Amino acid sequence: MGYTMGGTRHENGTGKLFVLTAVVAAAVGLGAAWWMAQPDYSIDSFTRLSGEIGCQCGTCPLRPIATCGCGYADGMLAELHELLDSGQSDEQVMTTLVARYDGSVRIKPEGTGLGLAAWAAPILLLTVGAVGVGSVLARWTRRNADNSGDEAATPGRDDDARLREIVERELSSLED
Amino acid sequence: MIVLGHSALIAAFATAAYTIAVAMLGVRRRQPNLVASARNGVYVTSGLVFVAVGSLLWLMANDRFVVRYVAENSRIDQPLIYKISALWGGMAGSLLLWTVILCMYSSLAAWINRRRHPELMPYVYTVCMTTALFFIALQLFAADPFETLPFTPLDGRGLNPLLQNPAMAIHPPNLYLGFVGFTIPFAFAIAALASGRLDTSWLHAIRRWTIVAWFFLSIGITLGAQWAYVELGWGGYWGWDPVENASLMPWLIATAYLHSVMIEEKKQMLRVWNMLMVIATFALCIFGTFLTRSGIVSSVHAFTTSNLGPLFAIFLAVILAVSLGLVAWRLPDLRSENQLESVLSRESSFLFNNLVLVVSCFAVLWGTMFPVISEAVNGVKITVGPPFFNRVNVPIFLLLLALTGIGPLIAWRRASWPSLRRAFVWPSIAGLGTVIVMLVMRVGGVYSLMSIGLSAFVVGTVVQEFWRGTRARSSANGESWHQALLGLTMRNKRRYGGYIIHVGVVLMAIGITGSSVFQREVEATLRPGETVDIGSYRLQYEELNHFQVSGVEVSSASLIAFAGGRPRFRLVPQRHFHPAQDNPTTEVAIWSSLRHDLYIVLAGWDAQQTATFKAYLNPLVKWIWIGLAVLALGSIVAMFPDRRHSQVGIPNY
Repeated sequence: MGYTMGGTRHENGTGKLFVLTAVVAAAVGLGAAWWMAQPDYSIDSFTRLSGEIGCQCGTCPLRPIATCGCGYADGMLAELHELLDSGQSDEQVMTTLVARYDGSVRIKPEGTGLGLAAWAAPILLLTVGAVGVGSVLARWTRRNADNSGDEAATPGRDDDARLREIVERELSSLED
Repeated sequence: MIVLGHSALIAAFATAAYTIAVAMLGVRRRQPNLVASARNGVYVTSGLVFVAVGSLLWLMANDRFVVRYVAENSRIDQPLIYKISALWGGMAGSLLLWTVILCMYSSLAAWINRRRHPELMPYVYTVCMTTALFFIALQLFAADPFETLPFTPLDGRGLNPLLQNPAMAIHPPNLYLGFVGFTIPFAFAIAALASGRLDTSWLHAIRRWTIVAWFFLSIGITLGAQWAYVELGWGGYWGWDPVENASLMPWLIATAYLHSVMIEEKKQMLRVWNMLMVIATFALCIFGTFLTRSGIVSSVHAFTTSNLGPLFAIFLAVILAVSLGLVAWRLPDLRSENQLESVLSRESSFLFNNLVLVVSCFAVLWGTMFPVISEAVNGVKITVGPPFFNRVNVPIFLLLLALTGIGPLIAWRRASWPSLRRAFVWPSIAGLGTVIVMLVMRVGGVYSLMSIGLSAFVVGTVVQEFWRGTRARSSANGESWHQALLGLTMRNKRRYGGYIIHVGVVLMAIGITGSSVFQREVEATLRPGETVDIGSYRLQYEELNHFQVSGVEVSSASLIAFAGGRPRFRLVPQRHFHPAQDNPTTEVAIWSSLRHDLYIVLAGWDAQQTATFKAYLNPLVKWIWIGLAVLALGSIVAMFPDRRHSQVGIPNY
């Protein structure tokens, strides 16, 4: 009975630890997602925006105008030059282009609102998933340790069995 | 031939339905003769589908334009190779290709297992033929490849010019061999669930099928990238287009399965997980086909968009409902006593590897479908393009690269710290040494340093694994080094084939890093005789010519590339204007070496012969294609059957 109660206390403690770690992982994941969504200010506005504006020719959807080989993209690049030369900020340029074409011109989701969800979902899955896998591994290892303890206490366990286990392990490592 | 082909399809529909009925009846009544009849049904269905394919090929080769499919995808002066490849250039033909490959695989699986797995095979026939039935039904009722026109056109419209490329002649069949190949593992998984034979026999039955499908899918994806590189003319090979993503997703999940299945084989753990991985891989193959044909998301590869999307969605829903229903039903039997001796074990590293691969697949799926999801949620379509995929996936792939190196260094079951220290020393020195050299040479940023450093680390682990095994074998048997190396590889083909595959993946990673991080680009408008510099090359524009070849109007520029002040080679970028097609195609000129590709696009010109060129210097691209060859070699090694070890006592690390 005492063992059961101790086990429950232990499991409760592990459960709380898992929830706490998962919350921290989720917070880290959200922070990473927000950071990823931010513009890369280490490069100039033209290079950055030309990589975030999609070609609107209709035949090469989603391709940034910086890498799209079609003539329409060349026109949009010239348009981008003009807008930046006129003194517009990055966000003003994007707003102008969205108004001129439509929302599909912006091929990098914004770091706010629903756009942030695009960035956050995979990162959250990774961080919270890592905590989940870690927790599962810890549980499986603990279960093995518990069973090994039971086996060690079994009076019928002799040296032959132990040696057989070692041989089996060695043979198994030969297979892969 | 039209009647023959169409009749063959109708008959194939009937025999597939018969096969399903008789296989299930055989199971119910426990009558082996009915199951044997079902097996014959698989063979007959395959034969009939082959007749249908042969008929369509004959019609295309002989320019029978009264058939709508031939008129829309072929023309008289189209080279024979493209008349044949037009089989998968349009919707109906590509469905027929799917069906014939499925029938080929099904027949092969039926024949190989004719005396094995008697409890599983009736269900395998049922699943394969149900899938075939769906595809044949699509052709009979929605996209008939033998549909005739009310009149006979004098000539056809021709195959889409973008598809008239040698890579495109072999890319789709490889991709389909991969996609369709995953039907067999899925069929065995369903068979195991339905029959209750949930031991490892079904896993052993699908081991080689999974590697075969994965191998072809890898080739198909990379050939698709090569096609995009030489045909689309934007200097790159992977644009995160929805159709490209559709092929990558099942590959990622299949890769996860190929690792996690080893844990089940060794320790009977992860049984539910592996079952779900097999189901997810097949479901993603069908989802990819749905994505390509539904037009639900915009794509540059929309060659086969149609109104078949809802039918594929229904089929996918049925697959998921039945599969997951069966998993739920058998859950008590699938539960395993999961135990690990140590967190510090290869099993743990494989679990993390699975997590990263699944997250990567989810990121691709999420990004691909986000425009649809966002529109459904708040009515505003949020477009997701390459900037998102690159930013999210590059760190994930780096993590995966690290795990590719770490996994083989950790022992199964339990690793000790001293053994880990020994295992990690040389690969870590290789990785860190590479990073230090790059830092000294001031090459690259954070991501490229990590990518190349981790690549060196992975190569270090593989070299060390081969070195230790060869040395042990050589000293134990007194064999020469090359004998020991060959013997080691042949004795455990899956393990060492896997290591060769890792090297292939690393070479691809190096190629992708080099070409994406260090790419240089120049755009110049030149008159004849003028030059432009890119990297260490000087390009001199010579002349522009216009001529006709096989009915195609060609505009062709000629440039001389100088290096070190001396002329080295000539580059001839072109633009092709195909009759009956609106858009011209870009035929890029590529000079390729192990160091870099010089990639020239003829962007435009005027009447005075002034021409505009886009020139790219793409470092290390060739290593991607070399990586594919190495990956293919490793897959072939891993696919060969293993003989049991005859020499016990020789260490196998």
